[in-house]
Amino acid sequence: MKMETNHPSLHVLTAIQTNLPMKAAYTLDELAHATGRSRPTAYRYLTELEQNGFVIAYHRGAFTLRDSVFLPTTIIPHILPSLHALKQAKRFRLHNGKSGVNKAKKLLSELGGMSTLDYAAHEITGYQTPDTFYFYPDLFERAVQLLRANSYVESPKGKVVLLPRIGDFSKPILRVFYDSLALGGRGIIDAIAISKRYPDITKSSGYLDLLLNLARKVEQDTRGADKIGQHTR
Amino acid sequence: MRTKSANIRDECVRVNAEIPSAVFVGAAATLAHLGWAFRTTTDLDVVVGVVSDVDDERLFQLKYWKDPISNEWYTPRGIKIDIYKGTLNGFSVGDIASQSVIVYARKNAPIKVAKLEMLILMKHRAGLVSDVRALVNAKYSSIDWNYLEGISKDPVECQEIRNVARAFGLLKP
Repeated sequence: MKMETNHPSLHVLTAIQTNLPMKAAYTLDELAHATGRSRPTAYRYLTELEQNGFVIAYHRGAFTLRDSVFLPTTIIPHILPSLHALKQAKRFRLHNGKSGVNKAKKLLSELGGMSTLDYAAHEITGYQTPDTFYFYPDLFERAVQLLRANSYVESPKGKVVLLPRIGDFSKPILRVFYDSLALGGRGIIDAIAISKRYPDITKSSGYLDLLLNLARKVEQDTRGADKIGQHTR
Repeated sequence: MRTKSANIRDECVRVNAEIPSAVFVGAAATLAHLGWAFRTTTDLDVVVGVVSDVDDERLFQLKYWKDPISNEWYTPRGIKIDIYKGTLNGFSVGDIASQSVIVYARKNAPIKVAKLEMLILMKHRAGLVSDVRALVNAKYSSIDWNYLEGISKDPVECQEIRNVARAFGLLKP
């Protein structure tokens, strides 16, 4: 099956997943070496990943990837809308340097929309502490104007994040689940916690759902035995 | 409303008062190094400089309790606490304790946490790549690269941490 042209090619994802170990950062040379391709081809792979929102940072031949790039390829089409939204996100903080999360939560909720990731996952699972407020406003430009009118400025490290509404929002918990998977890092932990709480909602994730179910079974079966992975935190 | 990270912060202060030689590693240490603004779960991971501080009898005296099924320890406030002995991600508990640094969790409430460079390498070795990225990105100017190189198991490991800084455009040419 040919994937849509704006999706990452299956062979690129397969090459990455098969040949690159999961690390905090990579170099272009490593990517070329691992995939057995030339540096220009490796750069083309990287560009394709960047266009789809998998690249967190790239500078002078070094780059970091969201670990969602290593998820089963069957889940990738589900998380692409989230990745594209994250790629087009705008980050804000208050002009005085404060995060302004609480104020923004109030302002944006009144405007309308849906929160996702940290705060939404925390509301659903109560598991990890929230840090950044991610929000899909019903009216994106209106939300930007509202924040600016209330002393917010755009900042790359801002903790108020506006995301454009891309994809399906008909099932909010499922959307938070896919957003969490797409974000990667501690978002994956949120996704697992959401899946544990709402297995019926997240079962559409197919093979990933199977893995999570098996993990839960292993956890239940080994409870009381020595802790698995005790020294791997 | 108090946030959960504020609760963790207070719990670190209490645990430090109860177990004076406790050194926080894991999420609590990451939180402390990042100015208490990061995502974590609520459990605590500690190593201790004085082993007798955490023998079972002592912990029971302090009203810590052990889940009889999972054998996991909980603080008197019900927070899960993992106490590591021996080695942790390639570092001896003794080295982690002796190299620890003081961070103020609250005014007049110092706690001991794993040294930044050791914490980065522990996270790196545990595969917690997002934590490594967060620590390097936020604390780049505080990292002692010579020290980090000295405690790395090989030059590749140190270079991998440098690559994180490079990707974020932090390394000076």
